[in-house]
Amino acid sequence: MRTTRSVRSLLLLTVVLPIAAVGQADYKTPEQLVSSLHDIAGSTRSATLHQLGETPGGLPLAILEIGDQGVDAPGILLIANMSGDAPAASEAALELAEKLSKEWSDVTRDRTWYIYPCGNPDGYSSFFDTPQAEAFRNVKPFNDDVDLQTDEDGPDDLNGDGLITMIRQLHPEGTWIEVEGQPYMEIAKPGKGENGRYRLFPEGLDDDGDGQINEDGAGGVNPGNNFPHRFQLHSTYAGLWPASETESRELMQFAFAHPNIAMVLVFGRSNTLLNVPETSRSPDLLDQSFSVPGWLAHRTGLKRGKRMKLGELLPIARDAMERPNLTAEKMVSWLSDDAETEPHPSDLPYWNEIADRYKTFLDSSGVNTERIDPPQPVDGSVEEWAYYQYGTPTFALDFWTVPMPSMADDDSTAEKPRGERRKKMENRGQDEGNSEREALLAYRPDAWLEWTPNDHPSLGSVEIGGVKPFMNLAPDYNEIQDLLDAQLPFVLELSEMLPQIAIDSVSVQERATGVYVVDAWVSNRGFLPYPTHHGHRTQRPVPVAALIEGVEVDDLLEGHQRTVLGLLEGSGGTEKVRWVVAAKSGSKITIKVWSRSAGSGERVVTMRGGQR
Amino acid sequence: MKKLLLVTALTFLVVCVATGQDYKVDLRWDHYYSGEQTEQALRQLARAHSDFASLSSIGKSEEGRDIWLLEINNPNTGDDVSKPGIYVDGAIHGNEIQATEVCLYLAWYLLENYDSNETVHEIVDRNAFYIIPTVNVDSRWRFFDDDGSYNIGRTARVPYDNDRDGLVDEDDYDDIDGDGEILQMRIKDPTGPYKTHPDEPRMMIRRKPWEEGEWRLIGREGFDNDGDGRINEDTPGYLDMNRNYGGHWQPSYVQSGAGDFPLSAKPTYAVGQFLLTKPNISFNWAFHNYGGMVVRGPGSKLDGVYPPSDVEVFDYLGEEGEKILPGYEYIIAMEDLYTTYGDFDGFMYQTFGILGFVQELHNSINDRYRKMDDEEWIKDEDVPWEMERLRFNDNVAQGTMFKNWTKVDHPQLGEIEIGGWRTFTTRMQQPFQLLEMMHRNTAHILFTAKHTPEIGLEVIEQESIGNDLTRIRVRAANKNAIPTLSALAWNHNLVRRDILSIDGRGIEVVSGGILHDQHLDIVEHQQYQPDVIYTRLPSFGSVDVQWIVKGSGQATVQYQSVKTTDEEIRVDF
Repeated sequence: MRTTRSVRSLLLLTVVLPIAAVGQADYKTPEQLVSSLHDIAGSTRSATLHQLGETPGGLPLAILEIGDQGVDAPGILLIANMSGDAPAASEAALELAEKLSKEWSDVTRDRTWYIYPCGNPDGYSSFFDTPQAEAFRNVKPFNDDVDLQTDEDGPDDLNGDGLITMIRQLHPEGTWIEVEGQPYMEIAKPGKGENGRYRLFPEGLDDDGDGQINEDGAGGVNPGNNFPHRFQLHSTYAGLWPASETESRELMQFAFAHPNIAMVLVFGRSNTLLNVPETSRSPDLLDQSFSVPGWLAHRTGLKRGKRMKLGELLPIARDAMERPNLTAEKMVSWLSDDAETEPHPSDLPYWNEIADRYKTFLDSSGVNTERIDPPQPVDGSVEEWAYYQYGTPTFALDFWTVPMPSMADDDSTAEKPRGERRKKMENRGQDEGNSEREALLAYRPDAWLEWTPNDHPSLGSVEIGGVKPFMNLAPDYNEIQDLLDAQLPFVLELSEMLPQIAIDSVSVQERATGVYVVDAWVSNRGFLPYPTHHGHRTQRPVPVAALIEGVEVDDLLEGHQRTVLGLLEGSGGTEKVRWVVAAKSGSKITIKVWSRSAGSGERVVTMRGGQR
Repeated sequence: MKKLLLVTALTFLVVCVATGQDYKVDLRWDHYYSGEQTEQALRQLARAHSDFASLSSIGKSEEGRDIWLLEINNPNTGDDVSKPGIYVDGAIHGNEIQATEVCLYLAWYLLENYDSNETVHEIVDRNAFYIIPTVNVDSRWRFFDDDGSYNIGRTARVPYDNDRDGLVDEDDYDDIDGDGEILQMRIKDPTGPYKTHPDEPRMMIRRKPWEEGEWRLIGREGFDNDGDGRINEDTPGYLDMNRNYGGHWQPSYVQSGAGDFPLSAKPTYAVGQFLLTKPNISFNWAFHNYGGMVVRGPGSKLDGVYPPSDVEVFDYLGEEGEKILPGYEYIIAMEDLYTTYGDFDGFMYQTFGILGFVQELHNSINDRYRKMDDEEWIKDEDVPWEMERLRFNDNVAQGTMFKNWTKVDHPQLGEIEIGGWRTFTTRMQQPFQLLEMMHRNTAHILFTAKHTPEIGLEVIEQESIGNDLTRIRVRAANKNAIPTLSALAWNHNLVRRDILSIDGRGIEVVSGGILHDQHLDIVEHQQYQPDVIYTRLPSFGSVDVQWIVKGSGQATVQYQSVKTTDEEIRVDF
């Protein structure tokens, strides 16, 4: 199937003259990425390659695991290029894998890294295909226009330049106009007295004679939109249902099968450390309002559908259901209200601090920070899924967008705070689209293909031209190494921020002869909380437990053999666990703290009066 | 109980029902089929009716059991996918037992009555049936084989940490008295909320606040297996497969039992993959217990407002169901029950645009013990429902439903009593009541099968208009209640559109389009490919098309739909 697109295009090609395309030759293809992972796995003692199946196009999906302790150490899952539109992200993931296997191998002793360098190999192949087109859906057949044929009308390289660009046609119904002195076109604004002259189409034929051009190309689904948070049902690109695609399903399955994963990093186009989301959510679940569901109304006499704060609802429900220990989180899962779409406010101080450190790091690393703002996470994205459903700290990073043009002609060349120039740019342009076009023109003067006449079989006399594919999606390959050298080390900083649970101290005090009060303070020495506040809400991360060993159940006068702890804030968040035990003086008991992804600890204490 | 069932089942007596007809496969209908017996019955049906029936596994469960699909299709009237498909499944909740029996009965009834019953003959010839009697095979097998209760086995067998202590499935039920059932435990407690009913020693009632208590209920039989002070707080599983489908799935912090991600359970995934291979499915059924309800969506506010013309179809088929099934109510899930995300019927409708019902089998009418003319019986609170059921148990079921309270020594709690409603009760009718329930539900399915779309084509006008041109007007009509494509499917491009086309030698179509008004000549001309008109046929509705054709010869007018048998007529010009 994967060949359909290229075979059909090849048949139509008369002259193959790839001109000034972004240097695909140097970027690694999806196949090369996997074979590089194979090489690393083969030459690195602590590395394993996990095969996650194949894409609809038959390309392998692979995750490289590097770490001395496997699932026994906290894990960092790195997912790159999930949407297939971020070449630099795949390069960064591979570079990270190589560094971890060599000069950065120190951080693989007590951390296990899972590296997925390309989440959408089918879509990413479009970067390497001839002709080159921005087409990021996998090649699973999909009948976009619900007619008799499937995938029958994709793009065609009419001028044989190896690129899929645009067609323009002078037409009475045209809505586009030329912009004087500029290669790009704009929509005419009738309110400004402008009258459209051109119609624009993507470069292609009306292959099935239905009057539309390229309305049903090869594929499919973009796996980068196929995750279950903010999934767009009924769209043509997100899939029939969330997790319908092998690429996304296998990845989620892998993540759930590795509960040691403590952090998810996403390399793609969005950057949640440059653009930290805002929130209007209340920090306290009890302050959030929910609708009274029918079953609760029935049991309590409350009015069905009435909005009430959880703080009011919970005691009523505990009483009516005779469940005095019903937790707020459990209660909410029965209220079937809305999923959260904004971060938990108590996670934001951590998030903002990390963002500040990231910006400081970038400023000191010499990388150009005056660049076009990265886009927001897309619908059904992996980065939002990881934070909102998988419940781990998740940070999305990009490595490149089109740089802002140099302001040499500006009146002041003095140092300015970050973002100043970008603001100026945006003010100068009428909208963000304008400043992005200006920036792209400055960076790549040849980003637009000059309009040249062409004879189109169904449209007649037209011109082909317009912006070339991938111009604003990938830097020239020769810039990649510098970009990664400057930015990738921040990943090491992030990996140092994982929560780290330990027993801070234990005190033993004799209450009566042969009766001891054992207090253990369990704390989190890492920077991040465990779990995140939103992760706590999702109930997904496995909770921390404190255990007492060496005491018979009957001798445990207060407390349980296994005590589950709540959320532990970062930088020393502490919870006390108390046991009262009957024991002989001088006997020893063991206190353990256990977690699945945040470390563990153990203390042996002797039953003796006044010991600390 | 279990052993008794097994013995009666394995005999498979050759008893012929009222008509005295000989059946190729004589299945008993006063009996609940264990997992193994269900498989056996399906094999027997497929073997005896190999011309129409085929049995296949759509995948395996978490515990490695096959999920069986029985497909019924008459190959002499076409491939299954060329006809309207009726999808029927049961027991996605493994403890909702009789759902499987309805599926078995449906299959048996269609296959055994094809030759003798004209109605069945027509229904089978015109439709294909896809029947998955048990979706949750693991929990159904365990319901029969393990120590059971009517309330155990809703979940898929996916390990889950119910009590959020970091351990998984560590505190299951335990059959303390060794009778093979997990019944109720109670303990003497003067502060307990219950006391013995003065007239019925088996029954407990809530004491008045000023009275002394006698009993405290302590849940179903079990120990505190993990020493956390709680009993049965982390039993195996909790993934509710009817919250694990796509559509508007929500994670488990919003929808309890949702699973890690949509279709994360093996059976739901297998069903999802199977559905992709049968685009012809026109209507779907999912059988559950209990409550006596014909349920339609929306299941949640995220489903939005259903298109009115689809609602009309639901209403037509649902209201008829209330009459086929006296005592059943036709209701809307979100409004009349509760909000659900990721349920099967919502998935079918939102993903594929297919209409369907969730049927909740068995209601309390089945256990009644009173005179028929007492119409207010269900509202009469003077006679407690529990007591009426005990009379039913004593004088109808001959004591098989309720186990009397018996003293047992619980290693952790001391002396307790175990007793109460036994496994095959409460959510299930007694075996002697099964046949009518299965038949009436099958009748409701067959009613929808009679109403799968069926195309009629006719030329309503043909006139020569000079210059070698002919104007022809064709009407395509759906004779039945279920549209070819639901309005939702059409609105969101969920299914390939239907095609009304004309093609012939010697003729050229110079103009064409949908004829909106035959009398006022309002035509929506189609600029490209006027010979191929994309459309849909609504419930009992029709579409008119006008073509202007140049030349002479014979042409074929054809209506093609993914959802039903194509139809064509020949026209001479």
